[in-house]
Parts: sequence; C-alpha cells; structure tokens
Amino acid sequence: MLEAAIIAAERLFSPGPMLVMLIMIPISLISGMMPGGNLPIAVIVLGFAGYLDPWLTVPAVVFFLAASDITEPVPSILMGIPGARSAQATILDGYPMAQQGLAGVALGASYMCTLVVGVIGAAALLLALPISRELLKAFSSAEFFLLSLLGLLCVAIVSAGAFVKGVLTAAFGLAIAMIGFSPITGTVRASFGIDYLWDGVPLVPIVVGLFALPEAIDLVVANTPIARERLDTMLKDANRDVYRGMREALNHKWLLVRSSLIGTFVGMMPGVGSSAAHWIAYAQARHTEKGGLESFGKGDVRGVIAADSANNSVDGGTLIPTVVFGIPGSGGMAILLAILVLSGVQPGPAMLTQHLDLTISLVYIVAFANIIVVPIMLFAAPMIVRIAAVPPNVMAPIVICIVTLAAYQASYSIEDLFLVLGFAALGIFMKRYGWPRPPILIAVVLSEIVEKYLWLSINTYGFSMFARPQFLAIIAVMVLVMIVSLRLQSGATTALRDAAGAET
Amino acid sequence: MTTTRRNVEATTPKEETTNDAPVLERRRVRHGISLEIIGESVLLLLVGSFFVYLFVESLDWPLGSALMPRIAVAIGAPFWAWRVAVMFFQAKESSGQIMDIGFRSGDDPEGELGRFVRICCFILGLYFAIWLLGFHIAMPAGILLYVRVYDKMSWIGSILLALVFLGLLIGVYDKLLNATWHDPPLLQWIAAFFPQSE
Repeated sequence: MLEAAIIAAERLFSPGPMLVMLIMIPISLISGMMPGGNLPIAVIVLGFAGYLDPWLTVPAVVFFLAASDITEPVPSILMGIPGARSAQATILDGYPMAQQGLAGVALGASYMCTLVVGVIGAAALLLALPISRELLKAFSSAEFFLLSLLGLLCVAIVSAGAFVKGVLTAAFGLAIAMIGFSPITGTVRASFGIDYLWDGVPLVPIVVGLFALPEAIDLVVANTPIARERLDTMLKDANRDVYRGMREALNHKWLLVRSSLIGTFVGMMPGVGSSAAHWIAYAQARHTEKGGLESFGKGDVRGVIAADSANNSVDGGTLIPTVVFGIPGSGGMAILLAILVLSGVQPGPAMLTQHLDLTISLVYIVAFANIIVVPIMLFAAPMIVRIAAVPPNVMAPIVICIVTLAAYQASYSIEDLFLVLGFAALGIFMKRYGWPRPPILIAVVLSEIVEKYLWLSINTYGFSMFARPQFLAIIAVMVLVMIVSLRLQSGATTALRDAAGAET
Repeated sequence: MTTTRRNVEATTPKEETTNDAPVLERRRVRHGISLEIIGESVLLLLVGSFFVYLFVESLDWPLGSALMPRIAVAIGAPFWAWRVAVMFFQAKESSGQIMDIGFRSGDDPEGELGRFVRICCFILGLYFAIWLLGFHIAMPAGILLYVRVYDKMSWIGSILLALVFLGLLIGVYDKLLNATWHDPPLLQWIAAFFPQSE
C-alpha cells in the first residue's frame, strides 16, 4: 500500500499530469460557477481518452470535477440557483445569508469546509480504502434501495413544520420523474403523446424553472440587489466577512466532521451518493444543532457548513464504487469510468490490486484540487460577493439568459425552454403559496435509483430481503432517524407555541 | 447589523424582514375567497390531475413500469386529500418553516405587481425571440434592451454588456462546448426568400 502510494505520488506530480491539472484550473473555475453542471467539459476530455495515457486523462477529469464542485456554491449562495449535481441544499441557508448581506460569511464558511473536508477527507479515504471494499461487499441492491429511500425520507425531515406539503410535493416530484421510458421494462410512461418527453424530464430545466427563474423574478419584484441588508458594510467588510465565515466553519468543527462522514459514507453507496448525501447531512444538522429547527432555512451558517461538508466529502466517497465495482455514483463518475475503460484500465477489484497506484492517485487529485482551488476562491471571494450588490435590473436579465443556456444544454432542444417555462410557472406558484420546492428536486433526483433498486431487490430477494441483517440494521437506523426527528420537531413546535404565548 | 457585530451573530439568522401575509390578507376577492385559496386550488388541481392521469395510464403498463408510479400516487393521494380538507374545511394544521424561500413583498403592492408583470413579459418575450431569431441575436439584444430601458444604463455600457454576453456564447458554447443550436424559423424564412446560389 505504502509503495503504491509513493508510486502514485511520483507519477501524478510529474510534468505531464501537473500540466493538464493546471490547464483545468481556469476551466473548472468558470464551469463550476455556471449553473447547469459541468459534465459537457468532462465529456470533451472523454474524446481524448482513446489516444492519451490514463495518467493524463484521469487527472484531467477528476481534477476538473473536484475543482468545479468547489466553485459550485457560488451560484447557490449568491443567486439562489442550485447546481445540477450538488450544492442544492446549500441554497436553503446560503441564499438567505446573501440576502442579509452575509454572502462573504457564507462563502468563507463554504470554502473552509471544502478545504478541511477535501484534505482530511482524502487522507481518511486513503486509510479507509481496504475497509470500504469489505463493507460494500456486504451490501446488496436491497440495502442500496433502503439507503436511497433514506434520502427520500429526508423530505419528511427537511419539511418539518410543513410535513403534508413536503410529502405531497415529494410524491409529485416522484410522479414527474416517472415520465418517459421506464428503466425496468422500457415502456414509455405518461408522455402526454409528446415525443420529447420519451427520454423523461431532464433535471436541469426543472432546476432552472423551479428555482432560478422565480428567484430572478423575486429580484426584480423586490427591486433591490440580492443583498437587501447591510449593502455598504458587505462591500467594505468583504474580507472580514470571508474570514469570519472561515472561523465559523472551524467553530463548528464537530458539525463539519459529522457531515463529512455522512458525505463520505453515503458517497460510497453506488448511485446514491452525490444526490442524497447533502440532503441527509443537512437534515441531520437541522435536527441535532441547537435551535436548528427554528433557524435553518432562514440564513443559518450551520446549514451551509453541513451541506457543503457533505458535498465535498462525497467526491472522495463516490470514487470507491466507481473504480472498485465499476458502478458510477454520479454523472461525472460515469465519465471517469468511460475514460478508464477507453484507456484500457478495467474498473473492478483489480483497481485495488493491479492498479492500486492509479486508485490512490484519484484521492491525491481530489486533495490537490482542494489545496489549489480553495485559496484561489478565498482570494477571489471578496470580489465575488460584489455580485450580490449588482442592481436587480442588470442582474436579472443576465441570470435569466445564463440559466436559459444551462437549461438548453440539457438536450440541446428548443423544447427544453418550454419545459423551463412550465416549471417556472409551477415554481412561482409554489414559492408564492408556501409550498416547499426542494422535495420535488430530491424526489426527481433519487427516483431512478429508488425504482431501479426496488425492482432489483424484489426480483432478487422477494420477502427474504427482510431476513438480511444488513437490511434490518438500516431499517432500524431509518426508524431511529424518524423517531428522533419527530420528537425534536414536536419539542420545537411546543417551544415555539410557548414563546408565541408568552409574547401575547 | 453593524461591523462590530460579534461572530456568533453570523450564525443567528435575522427574522424575516417583511411578510406578505398581511398584504395578501387585504387582497380578498368577492364572496370571501382569498387569493391564497385560489392559488392553492390551482396547485392542488394540477397535482391531483397529474396523479389521476398517472394512475389511469399505469393500468396499461406492465408491473415493472407501473409499480413506482403507483407508489408515488399512493403516497401522494392521502396527503393531497388532507391538504384539500385543510384548505376547504379550515382544518387545523401546524404551520412552520417550509424549507424554502417565499416571495417577499413590501408596502408597494401596485409597483410590485407592475414589476412582476414586466419581468414575466420579458422572459416570455426573450423565449419567443430565442425561438424566432436564435440565441445569438435574442440574448444579447434582450440584455441590451432590458438594462438600457429599466436600469437606464448608458448606451456604451449596455452595448458592452451585450457584447460580453455574445462573447460568452461564442467562446464557451460555440468554441469550447461545440453546442448545437436550434434553427430559428426567421432565418429559415429568409433563406427561403433569398436562396443562395450554388
């Protein structure tokens, strides 16, 4: 193991791989900050995979994915636009903080989490490589189904106080996700006779319609910049705010550690990781942090810390199932898998024996991306927060055009724009009438995984899946999570009622 | 919030500065039906109709395809019915944080309505222009006109901003991503009127 670690370091930090990673820095910075995801650029690297050495293409794509992930919270925090893959939970507290003129604090906290989690998480992952393989071997489709269900369960937890609306919108999200080809039988489902919908409803137009356009409209309607409070001090104290955010992240070190452990663990679950981890971490933080039930969602820096710590630790976690089992944990990992195959490296158990140096190098790359990109972002953060001070009538048309382009990227079809308009109308209604939008997103993102693993489990195990100790252990965890969250919610509701009674 | 605020205050969110409920409370239409009920009825009608459509359609699908849609409907239907009951029969439901950000309104409902209509018209107009003229014309032109008219930005500033956006379209999407654009009908009509010689 030690020998492989040294070989990996020698090969990775040689001129060729270093050069491709340096080239990827500006590309990943720009791409990560553009809403709509960064997969198209990763696909471009895929085009070179057949001709170049894996020690060039693999660092290029892994560095790019890790680095663009670091910049992804920028649109979430400053514009309220969730990224396509992650940073979706970051919006819940990051954007209200930007509205309160605390964008610098949110960005500082986010980057500090990224740095700590990226470096320490990568080291922990390196040590956990042999153990994780054994752990994953003990899990089957039944357990993966339960874990993806746990992600959906977070809808209920996250929607505390609006439980009925939360579950209803999640069910609606699940229903929307059923449109198009069934992954099980290939039947075209609920397409309304529209050919465009045969492939299902693409995620990016949903995100743009539900979140980005209503936020842009809100910006114009309120007729203020994104930062509605302390505008002058926000610009003047930008450096101090970023520094304060960094300290906030360190002050909540246990939350940071807890969330990153959740991110790494859930990230290791094939197909589940990148979609569910940040929601699970956010939900646990909301219930375990003091006063979280009342303050999360209103601009609590702890919400940003929990979501971003999990987001960044997921990167390392998703590498495990991708390289060890050949099961990609996200779209980016699917491209990495394709690059490995095209480069003549067969993913699977051989990655922990024959190609152990390459596997270890993946962990190095994630850590290296954090070490390089986070200081750049921290340096740029005081300038980036100025976005929150741009006048609404300048910001809104630019945001609308950028997110429209992001939506069009989904399938390069003009129908994407009609879909955006439809979901924008839905998003405006939901935002206006107090229906939570995140549950739709969670349900749409997780639906395919849940459906696939449910069907696999039924066919493989039937009712005997309930006799599996691993399955029962996860059910026990889920029941425990529900009980604890319901008790905490009930306590918080009582406290709020008492407080309201005391005021009157 | 002042610059001397203690660090811990950053973790403590501010109370919502404005709330649209009182404004909305005043906006009641005839027969005592509030805008809240009308708006939520539209949402519930949409969600309910889709559930019914999905369920009826699923009757023709094999079990592998129909299982998950039926589970979605089975989860959603009781909560949908509960929500309808809450809305029409004024049943009690605990209200709380919904994990989302609502629209915030101030004390100028007419101005807000005007701006809302304006930005919605801009979005619809922009999308129509994209369909008709293509991204490369519609988007820079849309940005130029909007910032010039509503932000009163100088002509030079507006044109520069539009050019920067055009540069982004060409540099990132055309050159880097090699994006495929849709064929705008207007250009097709022009091509039909002025066919290029061989």
